[in-house]
Order: sequence, then structure tokens, then C-alpha cells
Amino acid sequence: MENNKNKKYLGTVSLSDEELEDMSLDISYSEGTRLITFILGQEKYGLDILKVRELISFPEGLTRIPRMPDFIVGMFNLRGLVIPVMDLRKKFNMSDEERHEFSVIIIVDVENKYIGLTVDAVSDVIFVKEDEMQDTSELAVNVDTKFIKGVAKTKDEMIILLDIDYLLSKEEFDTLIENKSKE
Amino acid sequence: MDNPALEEFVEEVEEIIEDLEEGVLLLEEQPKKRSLIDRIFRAMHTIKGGAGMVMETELAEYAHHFENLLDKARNGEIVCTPEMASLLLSSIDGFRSFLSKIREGGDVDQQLIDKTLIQLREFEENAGQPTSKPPDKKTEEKTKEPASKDEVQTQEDEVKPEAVDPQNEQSTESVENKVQEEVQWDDEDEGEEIAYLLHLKFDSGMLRKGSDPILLIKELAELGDLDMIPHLGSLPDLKNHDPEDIHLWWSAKLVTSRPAEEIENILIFFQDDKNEVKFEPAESPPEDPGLASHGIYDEPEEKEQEQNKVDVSEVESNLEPEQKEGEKTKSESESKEVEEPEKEITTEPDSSDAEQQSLSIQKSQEPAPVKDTKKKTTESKATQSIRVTVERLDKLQNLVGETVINQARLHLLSDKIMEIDVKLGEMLEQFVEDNEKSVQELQDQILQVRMIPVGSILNNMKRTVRDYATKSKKKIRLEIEGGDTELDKTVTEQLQGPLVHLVRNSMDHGIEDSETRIKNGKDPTGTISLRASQQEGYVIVEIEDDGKGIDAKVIFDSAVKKGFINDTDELSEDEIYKLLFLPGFTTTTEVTDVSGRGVGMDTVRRDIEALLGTIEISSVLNKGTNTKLKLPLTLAIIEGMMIDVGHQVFTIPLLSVNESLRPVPEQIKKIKDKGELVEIRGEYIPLLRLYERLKLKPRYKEPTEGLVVVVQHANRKQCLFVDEIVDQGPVVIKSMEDNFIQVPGIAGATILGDGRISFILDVASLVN
Repeated sequence: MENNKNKKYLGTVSLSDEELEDMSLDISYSEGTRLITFILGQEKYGLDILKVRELISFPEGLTRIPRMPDFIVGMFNLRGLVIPVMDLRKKFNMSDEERHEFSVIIIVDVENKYIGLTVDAVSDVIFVKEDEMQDTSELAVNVDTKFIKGVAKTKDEMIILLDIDYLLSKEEFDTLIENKSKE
Repeated sequence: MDNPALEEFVEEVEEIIEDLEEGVLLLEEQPKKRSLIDRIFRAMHTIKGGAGMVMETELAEYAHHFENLLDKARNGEIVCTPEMASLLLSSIDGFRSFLSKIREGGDVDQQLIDKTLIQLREFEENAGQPTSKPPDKKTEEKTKEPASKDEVQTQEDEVKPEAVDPQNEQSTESVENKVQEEVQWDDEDEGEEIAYLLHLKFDSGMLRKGSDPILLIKELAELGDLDMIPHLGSLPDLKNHDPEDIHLWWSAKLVTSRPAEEIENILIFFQDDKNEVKFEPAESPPEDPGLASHGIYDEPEEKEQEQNKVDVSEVESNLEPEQKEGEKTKSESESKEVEEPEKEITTEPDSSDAEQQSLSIQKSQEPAPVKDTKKKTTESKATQSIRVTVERLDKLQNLVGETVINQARLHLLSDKIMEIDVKLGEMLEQFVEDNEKSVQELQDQILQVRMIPVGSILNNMKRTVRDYATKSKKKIRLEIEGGDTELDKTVTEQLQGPLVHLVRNSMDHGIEDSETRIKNGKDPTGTISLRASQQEGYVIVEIEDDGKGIDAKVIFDSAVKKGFINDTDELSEDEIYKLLFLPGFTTTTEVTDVSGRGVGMDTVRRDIEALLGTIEISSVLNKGTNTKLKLPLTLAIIEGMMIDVGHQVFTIPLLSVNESLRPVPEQIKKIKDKGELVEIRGEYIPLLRLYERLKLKPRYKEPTEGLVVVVQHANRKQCLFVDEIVDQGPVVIKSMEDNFIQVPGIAGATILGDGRISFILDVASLVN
């Protein structure tokens, strides 16, 4: 009797509630963004993982660009490409701590330009649902809000979403030169 | 635009449009050149067909209208006038508008499209009147038939009446004649392409003397379209066959545009008593596919029978009976000894001689029309090259650049290994040196691939000149020389803007109107010459006009007025012309009116300098002006001098470096308000402390401790005070803009042997 029953239901699988929940998580992926999160000072930042090309450790030979502001650390050779590096700490006027061993450069791809961003440490890749993200207008953060797209609140932390397109836009870069010529 | 088919279409049409534009401009000069109309028609037709395939129906329809117009021109209903050329040119602008719509989205310039279509209709209406009265359907139908026949066979009509319904023929004859009277294609008169009949009967001992008829035939075939008929009459039977004798002889028809001398040159050594080698022009229009297709069987036979040259059209008329005869003889041939040439051809497959079979079969069994063979050759040529995007080339070049750098690192590594293990180090060194050759070759090749002839942009100027001349009523002729000079693609592309600017200047301010020119004893038509040439690793592009020239005195006075110089300054003529390039100098109307030069010449200068080139102007009053652009062959690699300032290595283009020296204290002069000067052989050259400019901490504070590098840009010299010179050699230039922005004072970056980056100093900005 039992044997027969087994045969009859051979094709089915029973799932626990927990397992079912996991599956439904997968489905909800359609709305939201995958972020790479990193630490800068006391805060956690996030940026769209699709903008990230690769992570590298701080390069040895970095060449300073003459007459450029501090936060443009210099340029280095990434497999034949000449890539500028921006120090986000300096850019956001954070205390100029010595960079420690976790110092990492995130190479981002913005409009086909590769640019390196120094951060204190890269922490995680997370998924943020659309409704977990919100405007910055009433939030007080250390960073000039024009470089910030919004904030994502997950269960236990707050992630500041960087507006990388604006931060690394041609317009922003061009101000580097104008500032110089005014000097 | 993600659709690859569409992308390909746009690229293709872009190319076609260029061809179209060139064709129309030529057609305007030679409105009765049949081959040109055909070329334009084909181009238009290809656009239409392609557009239809990628579902760009509006574009297809647009092209269709112009194709119709061209079809009429082809049929001789319309003669190409300057108005028609303008119309076709504006259609090209229309196509460009369509293309940019496809490429970037947005809308077509509907206004432009509508305008051209209205113009087209007006033109067609006006043009229709003189030839065929109001175009009622009947006459249209009538004209069409003979006309389309006329398209391929002009002279044949009378000879081959059976091709057309005789009645129809008669009824339309009057119209047709009229048309033919009006349009006499120049090609035919000019004999642009001439058909020659060749008679090649070589000395039977020719092979023993080391010559070979096949070589001659191949040479002849290079001149044009060659159709050969072998004659097997004197072929002995196998028993008596001497393989070292030549038993065959040939008749041939060669359609070529080359002069007769070239044929003569090939055959000259065989025009003696032993050989029977002759050639003479055939009296047939070369562009006649009908003739070519049949003619090759018939002409030579006819020729042999009558012992002299024969009008090919006559041959054509005899075609049918002869073919029948040929069939008859074929059936008889087995029993008969092969003797008459007619039979020879038809029995050819029976022949036992394999060699002559192959020769004759491929040449004569597929008698293709002349035009078709032409198409085939171009098609087969096309498959020899492939289309590659510039991005891909850039990537490839980057990779090669990287390899070059790695090569340098390998050198360093092998040196280090040498210190530890000499044997191993030597082995590595050997390998590195071998590798270097390949890397060098690779680098040369990739640069070569990027080179394109500068002619493409020079030819673009034709349109610019034409449009201007039509509008301004000035008569201007454009001469182009050295269009095949090759330049890096990027340089070529970026040259376009400055070139347009300079040519416009020449037209606008240089060339006078016809009346003035006549008054001054000049040719009423002004000439602008564009000349490109290669000189010592540079490409020189000159823009020269025979206009009124620039008065150096006027420039000098204006410059004084503007406060650029003092009236006490003594300037050489060269220096005065240089003032034209100063920003702001030429923007005032006063100067443009008087000197007639240079709205935005400083922009031109900056563009050229961005290409690491230089620009020079010289002028003779009332004789004309010459602007000379000197451009590097490539932007990718330059010879550089690596210098150290404050422990950072910079690169100076070696081309700008005159010399380097360590000055003695007496050479350094300090002048109030003018800074420091270095005296070098009696010349005082301003000194620039690079560390100050670059804001670096130098090792040495005094030029007498470090080194001074004398650089020159245009005619200005400058001493650069550096800590030391590190190295010298070829460097691969990387654009700063690729991943960052254009930084003032820096022309680019390069990667040194140790993998570090060195910035290439922009000498032009340091000097100014």
C-alpha cells in the first residue's frame, strides 16, 4: 500500500514554508537595483553594480596630474589604459585619514570612461527594492547632496546612494580646469 | 541603433553618398558623359534597394524619385544642367538627413525633403517641355521603349530590327531620332573606352625562345576586358604534335580605356616578320553588352573570311544565320578534317589538346557582356577587404601599445635576472630581442592599417567650392593634387573642419570676382589648389589660392591698433602673418574687411595644433595666399624625450626639441617685467621654470645646476628648465580625454617602461 502511494507521487516535491519564501524572493528581483556597497568614513555608500567594471587594490605607480586639485590623486596604467583616480574622501572633504590596508579602488564605467574611486573598503553586494529607496532631501549627510541620488534603508542599515553619473560627468570635470585657470 | 543590418545599411549608404556626390560634381563638368550618369544611377538605385530591404520606405521612396530623374537622363530625355546637379546635390543632403535620423533618432528634416521634391517636380516639368510636348501618356510610352533599348544598344537598332516590334519602331522613330540627335554621349565621341581587334599569330618557335603567349595575353587582359578566340586550324594530329611548337593562334577583342600605345608596348617585340601580330580599333561602341556577348564568336571569323576589319555591327546582323551554320558544321565536323575557323570553334570540345581547351573554354564559352565582367571584377575585389569599425582598430592599437610597453618591462626583467644568473639572463635577453622584432612589426602594421588616403576629405571640398561658387557668382576652380597621400584616420577626420575653414577663407576673401580679376589681368576663374604630399615623416597639406593676397602692412597696423603689438616693434613678414592666428585678432569686422582673412583663424590653428601639427601662412599681394599645414603621419606614436622635474617624469615631443644644455651663470639674464632669458649663441630665449609651472618641488633651483631644454613651436623658442634628461625613444600616445578630460598644458599621456604614466607636455601652450 505504501509502496504504491510512493510510486504514485514520485514526481512531487514538498517544500517547507521557508523554502517557499526563498523562492518568492527570487521573483521580486524584477523591481530594484543591485548595489555594491562600500565604506567611506563612518558611512556606507552604494552604487549601481552595473557601473562597476572591477575592483583593484591601490596601484603602486600613480602619477600626479600637474595643477589638479587634491582629490584627483593621479593617473595610473591599468593594462594599457590610462585611468584617473579620484579620492572620494578628499572629494567629500572628509578627514584625511591614512588609507589603511582595506583601501580599494573601484573602477567604474561612466559613459565609456573608466575612472577609479578610492574607498576605505568594499563591503557587500546587496539587492535593494524600489520601495526601500527614498529621496535625500530631508536627510542630513556629510556629503554634498548634489552627488547623492537617494538613500536606501534595509533592515539594519542605511546606505547612501551615490550619483556617480553626476559626480564623474564632463561638466563636473570641466570645473576642475576652470578653477585652475582662475587661480 | 541596435539593428546590425540597419547599421550596415547606413554605413553603406554613407559611402555611396560620397561616390554620388563626386559623381554629380563630375557630371556637372561633363554633362554628357554616359558612364557618369550610369554611375550616379547605380548609386541611387542601390540606396533605393537597400532602403527597401531595411524597411526604410520613406527613404526608398525619396531615392525612387531621383532614380526616375536619372533614368530620364540616362535615356536622353533630360540633359544634365547645373540646376539638375544642384537638385541632385540637395538630394544628397536629404539622404544625409535620413541617415542621421536613422542613426540618432529624431526626425528627418522634412522641410528639406519636401523642398527638394518640389524642386524635382518643377525641374522635371520644365525639362519635359522642350523634348516631348506635354507628356501625355502616349508619347511617354512611345519614348520609353526605344529609349530603354537605346540604353544598351545605340547603333544596333537599325541592324537588328527584329528585336523590336517593327511597327512600334516606326511609329516612335521620329521621337527617337530626335532624342538621339540631342544626346550624343561624349563617351562615345571621346572614345573613352575603345574596342580593339587583335590578331595574334605568333612564330611557332616562340616557346623555344623563352617567350610564352600566355604571358602576353595576361598582360593584355590587364588593360581591359579581353575576349579571346583560339584558332585550332593548324593543330596537327597527335602523331605530329610537337609540344614545343605553338600551333594555335588567336583573335581577340580588347575593350580598354588605355591608349593604344600600351597595347603596342606589350606587342612590340612580336611585330616582326616571323610573327603575325596586329591590332586595330574596332568600330563598335564598347559599352554594348549585346555585341560583346555575341561578338566574340563572330568578329574574328568575319575578319578572317574577309581578310580585313569588319564593322562589328555587321557581324552582329549576321549572327543568326551563322549560328545555324555553326550547328550544321558541328554535325559534320566529325567526318571532316577541321579546317575552317567557324568549325574550329564549335568542335572545340572534341579537341584533344587539354591546354588549349581550358584556355578557350573559359574565355569563349561564357561570353559575358562587357559590363558584367566589370562588375564581377569589382565584386571579387570587394571580398578582398573587410569592414572594421574604428573602435576595434583603436582597441587593437591599444593592445599593441600595451605589448610595446610590456616589451620594455621584459628588458628590465632580463637585466635583473642577468645579475642573478647570467646564463638564464642571456637566454631571456635573446628571447626578448627576438620578440622585439615582432612587436615592432606589429606596431608598424597596425599603424599602416589606420592610414587612409587624404583624398577623401580633399574631394569633399569640391562640394564646398561648388556650392559657394554658385551662390557667390565668383568663378572658382578647385585643383586637387596628391589625394592618395595617406594619413592616420583620426588625423584625416579632424583635418576636415580646418580645411573647410581655410578653403572658405580663400573663396570668400582671397579670390576676387571675375571683373576684378580681369581688370588685374588674371584669369577670370580663380583657382584654389589643394596639395597633399609626404615629406620626412610629415604630411604637408597646402591650400593655395591665386586671389588678392594679404597685405602685411594692413595686418601690422590693425595689430597695433588692437594693442597686440607696438608700432615700434620690428616684425618679419612671417611674424606678421602669425598675428592672424591670435585669438580675438580677427573677429573685428574691420580687419576681416581690410585684410580679408581669418574669421576664426585661431580656431583653425588650435585644431591643427591638437593634431600635433603646425600651420603657416605666406602671401604675395595680388598673387595669392598659401597656407601650409604640417601634420604628423600618425597621432599614435611619437619620438619623445623623457625629462625629470621634481622626481616626476614628463615627456616632450622630440620634434619640438632643438637642443639641451647646462647653462653657465653668465648666460642667464634677468630682465625686469620680462622674466629670465638664456643667451644661447647670441640669441636670447625666455626661460620657463617647469617646476613652477607644474607646481612641483624640484631637485635644483638654479638652471646652472640642472639642464635647459630648448623647445620650439612655430617660430617661437623657449627654454625649459628641468632637473635632468632621463631617456629618449618612441612613446605611444594615450589620450587624456579617453577616460578623463583635456588637461591644459598636457598633450597626452604615455606609459613608460616601468609601467608608470608620464604626461606628454603640450609645447605649444608652454611656449605661448
